[in-house]
Amino acid sequence: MAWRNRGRRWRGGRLVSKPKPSNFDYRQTDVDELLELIYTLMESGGEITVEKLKMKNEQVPDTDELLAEMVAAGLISTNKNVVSFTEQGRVEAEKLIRAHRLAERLLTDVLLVEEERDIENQACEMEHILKPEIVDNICTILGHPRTCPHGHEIPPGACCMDRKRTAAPAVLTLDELRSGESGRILYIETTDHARLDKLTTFGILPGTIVRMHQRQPSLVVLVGETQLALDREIAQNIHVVKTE
Amino acid sequence: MHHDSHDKIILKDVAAVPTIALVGNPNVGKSVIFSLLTGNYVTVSNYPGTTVEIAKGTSSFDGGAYRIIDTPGANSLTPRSEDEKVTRDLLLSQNSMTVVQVADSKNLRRSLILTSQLAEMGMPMVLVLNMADEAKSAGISIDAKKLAERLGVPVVETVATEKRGINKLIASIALARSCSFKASNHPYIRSSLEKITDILPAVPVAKQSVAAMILASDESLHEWLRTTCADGQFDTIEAIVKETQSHFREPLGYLMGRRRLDEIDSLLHDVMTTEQIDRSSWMSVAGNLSQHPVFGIPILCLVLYLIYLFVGKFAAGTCVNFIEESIFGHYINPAVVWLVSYLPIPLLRDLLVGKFGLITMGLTYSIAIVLPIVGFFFLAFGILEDTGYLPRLTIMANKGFKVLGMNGKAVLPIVLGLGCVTMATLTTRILDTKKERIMATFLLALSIPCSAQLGVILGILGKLSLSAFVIFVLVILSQLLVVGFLAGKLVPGRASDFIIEIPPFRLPQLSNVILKTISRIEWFLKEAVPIFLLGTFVLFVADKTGVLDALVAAAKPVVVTLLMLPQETAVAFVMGFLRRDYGAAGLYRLYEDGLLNPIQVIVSLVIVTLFVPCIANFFVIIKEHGLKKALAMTVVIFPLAVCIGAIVNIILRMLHYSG
Ligand SMILES: Nc1nc2c(ncn2[C@@H]2O[C@H](COP(=O)(O)OP(=O)(O)OP(=O)(O)O)[C@@H](O)[C@H]2O)c(=O)[nH]1
Ligand SMILES: [Zn+2]
Ligand SMILES: [Zn+2]
Repeated sequence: MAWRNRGRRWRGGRLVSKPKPSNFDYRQTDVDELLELIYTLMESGGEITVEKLKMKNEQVPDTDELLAEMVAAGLISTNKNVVSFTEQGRVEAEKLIRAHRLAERLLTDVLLVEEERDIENQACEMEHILKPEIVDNICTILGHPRTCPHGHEIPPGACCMDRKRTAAPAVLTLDELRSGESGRILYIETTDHARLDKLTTFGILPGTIVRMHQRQPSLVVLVGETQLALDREIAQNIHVVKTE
Repeated sequence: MHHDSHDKIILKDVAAVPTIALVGNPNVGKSVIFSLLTGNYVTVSNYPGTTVEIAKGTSSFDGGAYRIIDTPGANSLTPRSEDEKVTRDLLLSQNSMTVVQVADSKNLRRSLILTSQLAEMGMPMVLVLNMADEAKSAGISIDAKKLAERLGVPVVETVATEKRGINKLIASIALARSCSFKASNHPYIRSSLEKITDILPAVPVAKQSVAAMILASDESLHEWLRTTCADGQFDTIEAIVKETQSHFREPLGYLMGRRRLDEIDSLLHDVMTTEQIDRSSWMSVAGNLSQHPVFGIPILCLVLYLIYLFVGKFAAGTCVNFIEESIFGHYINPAVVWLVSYLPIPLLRDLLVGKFGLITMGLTYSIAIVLPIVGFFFLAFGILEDTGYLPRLTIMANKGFKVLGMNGKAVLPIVLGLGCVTMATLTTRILDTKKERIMATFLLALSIPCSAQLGVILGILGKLSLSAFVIFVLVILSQLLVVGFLAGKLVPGRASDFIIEIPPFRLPQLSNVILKTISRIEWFLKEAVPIFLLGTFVLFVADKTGVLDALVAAAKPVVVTLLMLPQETAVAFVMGFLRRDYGAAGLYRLYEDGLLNPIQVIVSLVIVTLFVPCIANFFVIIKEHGLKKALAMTVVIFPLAVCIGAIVNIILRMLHYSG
């Protein structure tokens, strides 16, 4: 999702100081970026025309050419200027988006990178180099999050489907703790400022230990010596690692 | 229920008297300490949100006079609810004030969040580690000396309810310093803070702290900023906030909060130790049971039944019979009649001892019937408030209230309405969104009988039967749900997140319960008795001039035809316009005189309960929501009450209910 400053990044290399690996495939990266662009445009709805793509992807002078190559590779099809994914193209795009958004989560919540620019740059690099198995590992460590820090949906992977079968994933949402169990908060998955604010004032932040006190009729958790009753929906935003 | 000590502070009066503000998280014991320092009683209860307005008092120690201010509990100085805003606004508006931060020792981590915000403001402060007793039994020990060193302010341990440590607290006030505990920020945020600080106009506190609030996207400050900043500066500030935020993924307030808590955790690591000890006490077992998914409901029923027995059977039966029949019936009223018979003017005689006599009706109703009932109700309610049972109801009710478009937190003001609807209307400030506040205010005005009225109702139903009591409760509850559901669809807005603190279950404090009951009885005498007398006078005049008869005749189609009630109930309803409990007292008399059958009792009680809000409540609604909303609510409530009464009548008659 680096079309914004893509040209600079990959051609001029001003933002990225590290040397590229020798086998780095620039063309493949361009294709990847375009796939992601189409995917996100589709998410926000509406028809995707070649003109629209060209406008959004103006850093790349040869978008037309690129699109033709992608049609040839069986990733997309065009019908009177309207672009759509082939099955293969969709799968490819989902993989990339998934890697990117999981990388965002990892950087923000676990590695505690604060600056937007750092997160974006790093995620953009990671999405192209992470192998699918590693992406699934990250997903599992994070407890199969459903959304990226911006609130966009993360396409589920094979690991997420297995989730129900695996007995105990490493990371749970708070509402999955049984009463009496404790967990350390890993990250909080919400874009709702008011909610985050409120959680902060109750001392519920990554690193805090919470104990499930009661699950019905409302969730009641213990944070230190404070008993807090809260909505299940809020607890679903809070991802914890079980502690003993 | 202590109206006089709650008057608004005039924010600019920086008098020569030094001011001390008690600030802290909700339910940490600020009001207990306030009472100890000033000798004024303010309501102390075991739930967050007891104090929603500023209370002030004076105190003198060290040979000087001090002004002491009690504030609503605040978890944060970037407020999310009206009561927190009251506290923040006070802190922002007062020059040269000393802050005594009251903390709950067993929840030091949360208290220190507030400490670090107060530190940014820079005023001299003292930290009070209250509830040291509870911390001790939880196995928590705090090195107060080390904490004082690290914070740079005096730290005093207290147990306010046992008056322990209060003298030390008083002695430490002279040593108050501004707190040196400050969290670091990301360099980029720091530079934005500096930029905003440079623009801000002069404020009584350190500008840095206001800048931090602004960055934490505190919308409640916008209005203040708009009026205090010079042209264009507000926009500049807005732009800085936007630009800074665009630099970060997560909300700035959250980022700053995270750093703050990091700092706090490392401080706690040095000053606090927690020992794992077995802590299952009777009290915590009782607390857990009362919020238990299975046992919670039977316990609620038991609590209601006990109140019914205590107030309905004992107070209204035994006590009222004694006072009304023996004291008033046999001694006072005959004596007065005898005395008055010497009065030469018949009209005057009537005014004092006639059908609508000030003594035979006004005083008898208020002192002989309502006062004993309400006194015992206050006692029962005070005990409940002290245990911490009420906030546990929020756990039970959250799901139901979600359906209404509110959340479980709204249970608190609504249940408190049983004590006094007027005060509870102020308590709606603890709710976060406007929708929730308006709905809770409306439901309070419509469906919640306040103490005096409820007491009288319990008295009547206590004499009638338990089944009548159960039917009454069910009617009021289902009506609350249906009307609440419809109102939830009509009132725009959304419900806020449900996160509420459940205080520990505590043994009621006898002295506090008694003090609170006395202060409430005092309030009843001051506020209700004059209205009872005034109301009686109005009735007397209306009766003599024939207006009352005309009213009763006019109400006949509704009262007699539609509701199938005896014509005399119309008089009780007229009384209800003045105060709902006055109306209920009128019904009590009618029932005693054998004029109402069981169905008529329930129907008329339902109507009086749902009746128009009392005058005091009406004024508070105006104060909180404006005249338009207050009028709209009243206009809706009256016909609604009659309709529901009519429906109940039809259903009970279909069921051939006979008591
Ligand atoms: N065990 C114990 N209980 C205390 C102590 N101090 C206060 N309490 C209890 O704590 C509860 C709350 O006290 P309040 O004084 O109403 O608290 P507050 O901080 O004014 O509360 P809000 O006005 O709601 O913010 C009451 O039930 C008190 O009896 C203490 O030192 N030890
Ligand atoms: Zn994203
Ligand atoms: Zn997964």
